[in-house]
Amino acid sequence: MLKMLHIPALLAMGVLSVSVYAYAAQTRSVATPPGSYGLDLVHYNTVERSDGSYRRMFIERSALGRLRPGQPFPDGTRILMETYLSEGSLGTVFHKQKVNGRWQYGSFPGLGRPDLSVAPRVSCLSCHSRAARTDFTYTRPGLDAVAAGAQPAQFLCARRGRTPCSLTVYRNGAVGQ
Amino acid sequence: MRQRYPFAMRFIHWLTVVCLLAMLFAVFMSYRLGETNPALSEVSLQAHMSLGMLMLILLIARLVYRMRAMPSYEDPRRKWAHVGHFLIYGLLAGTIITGYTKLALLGYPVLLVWGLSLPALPFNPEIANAMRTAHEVFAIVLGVLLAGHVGFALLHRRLLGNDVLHRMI
Repeated sequence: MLKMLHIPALLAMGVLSVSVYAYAAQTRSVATPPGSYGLDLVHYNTVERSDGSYRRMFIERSALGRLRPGQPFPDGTRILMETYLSEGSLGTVFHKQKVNGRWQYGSFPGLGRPDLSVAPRVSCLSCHSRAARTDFTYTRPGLDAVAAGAQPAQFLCARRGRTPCSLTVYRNGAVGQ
Repeated sequence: MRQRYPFAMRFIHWLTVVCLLAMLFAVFMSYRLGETNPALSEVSLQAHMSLGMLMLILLIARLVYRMRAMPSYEDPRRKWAHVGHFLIYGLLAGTIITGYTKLALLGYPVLLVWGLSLPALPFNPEIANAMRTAHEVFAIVLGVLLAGHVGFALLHRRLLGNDVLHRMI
């Protein structure tokens, strides 16, 4: 009877091993922050979260040069956000690009092949509509500060995961450095 | 013999319940997967919106059927039940419509999972944000009313001996 249990036990161990490997591959640490993806990017903000995750924000250098305080982002602007589940564990890279005056969004696995295609994703649009006053970009104050010569700011949004903080947090974070 | 609502009414009612639960699950999954699997998160949100549209169709069917074919049951407490039901219908419609408009006002068609899409509305993020707030408030009030609806059905069945729930089973 006990011998018959060997096969399901081995199968279960196999499934468990594959699952653990897949999880580890998805979240394995990277020695150096990527932040390139074939683009010329400028790091301008790091937003930490209360659950230990954090996001690193980038903008294309050419777009940063065309940025004017108080003005909407020019067409073609591309912004990237690396999400880290914990220190050094890169998850998804989100990005957006302005097309015909509107933002479109895309994403790809941080350790996979960069996919810079964009589309009007509802899940991104609905959340970013809260930041309509800063052209649908929560970290616009940080961008303006870096465009004016400040160092990239690092600050805390004291909410877990994806829930955005109030715009005040991003503004204070940008100017509080 | 205890009276029951016509089959069509019961079918619409329980299909609405299934849609509501599936819709809540879809939006929960959309939120949970947003960081790790954005593509699936997007599909989940489209499923949420599609189920909302299906519920709106079911609501219209229910109201039409209710006006035309529903039998009348004599009960002095029925007036308050009517008020509660129509509040739920109103909030259901309001939640679905604000859910659509908060997205359509961002200037893009709202894609559904069946390959269909609902038309975009003129770009207006300020009103879109007002619609988003309304959607969230309506959903919370609707949840409270639905909890009351279930509570009263069980109260009638368990304590008052007036098994109104049986009519809908």
